[in-house]
Amino acid sequence: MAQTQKSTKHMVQLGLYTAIALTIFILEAQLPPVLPAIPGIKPGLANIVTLFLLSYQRQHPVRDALLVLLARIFLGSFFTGQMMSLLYSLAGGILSFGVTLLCSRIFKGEVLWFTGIAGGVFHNIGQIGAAAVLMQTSAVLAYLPYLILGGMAAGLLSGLAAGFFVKRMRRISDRAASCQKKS
Amino acid sequence: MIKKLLIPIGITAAAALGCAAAIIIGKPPAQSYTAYVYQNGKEIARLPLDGSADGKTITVTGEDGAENIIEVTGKKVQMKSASCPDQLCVKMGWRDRPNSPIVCLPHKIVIDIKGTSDGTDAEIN
Repeated sequence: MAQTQKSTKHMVQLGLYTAIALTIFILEAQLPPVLPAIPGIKPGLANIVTLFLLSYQRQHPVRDALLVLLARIFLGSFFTGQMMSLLYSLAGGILSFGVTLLCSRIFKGEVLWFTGIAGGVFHNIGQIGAAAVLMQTSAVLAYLPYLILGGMAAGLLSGLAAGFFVKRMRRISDRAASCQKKS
Repeated sequence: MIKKLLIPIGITAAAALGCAAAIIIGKPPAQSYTAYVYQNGKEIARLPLDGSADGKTITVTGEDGAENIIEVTGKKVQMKSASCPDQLCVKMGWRDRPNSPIVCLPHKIVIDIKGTSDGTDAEIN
């Protein structure tokens, strides 16, 4: 019984995280492009959820973060109605996830801003790589330096945000735990 | 604490400087170029950007009623319209130099600008 309760709670939690990530993703897709001259530069704030889960979840952080990420990418493509962008999102998302995971292991969940930067940069590298392969042209690689800089700015933003969020959430859950002990 | 931050800050700064340098060095001079239009990786049109194709538009059609209209004015080229939802290539605006291709991801169309002499020479500049 306790087991079922726990797994139901866990499933609801993941559903909520997916909903948060999806909301951020879809809201962001409605905004006009940051730099219209250079395609592909965007804040990428949905990455906050991935970063947060990787360093906050105590059990199965990797599995949970990956599940939420994949659900967000698939549902996001459905909802924004751009199935073509699914491939680019997947390429960027998975490469970015790998690098984010590596960084969060190396830095043990600290210096989240740098983990964010690494994830952002490799997200853009993955996307442009997918574009070069799908369109069979290396011409798009000319945007690589711009997209790396853009990924850095975006990654810094979401990394810092995730860092603050993890700190606050830890404080809240610690307080909740100590309250439970008292009662 | 500071030592721990040294490596991340160092990597970030080095990569940022490298990219900024690549952007500054990679900026080609203003001269006459040719726009090469590719669809699915195959060249389908060449538009000279020396003023001789002024006012010319070409329509590129693809699968599922995809339609892109490419327009040349003077020495510049732009994606005038595209039948895709995101319109990113249209928003990219006018282009007149190499190293900044106009890209339509959903229809796999690339407008790449290169030296007129079928050139790799533009890359060297």
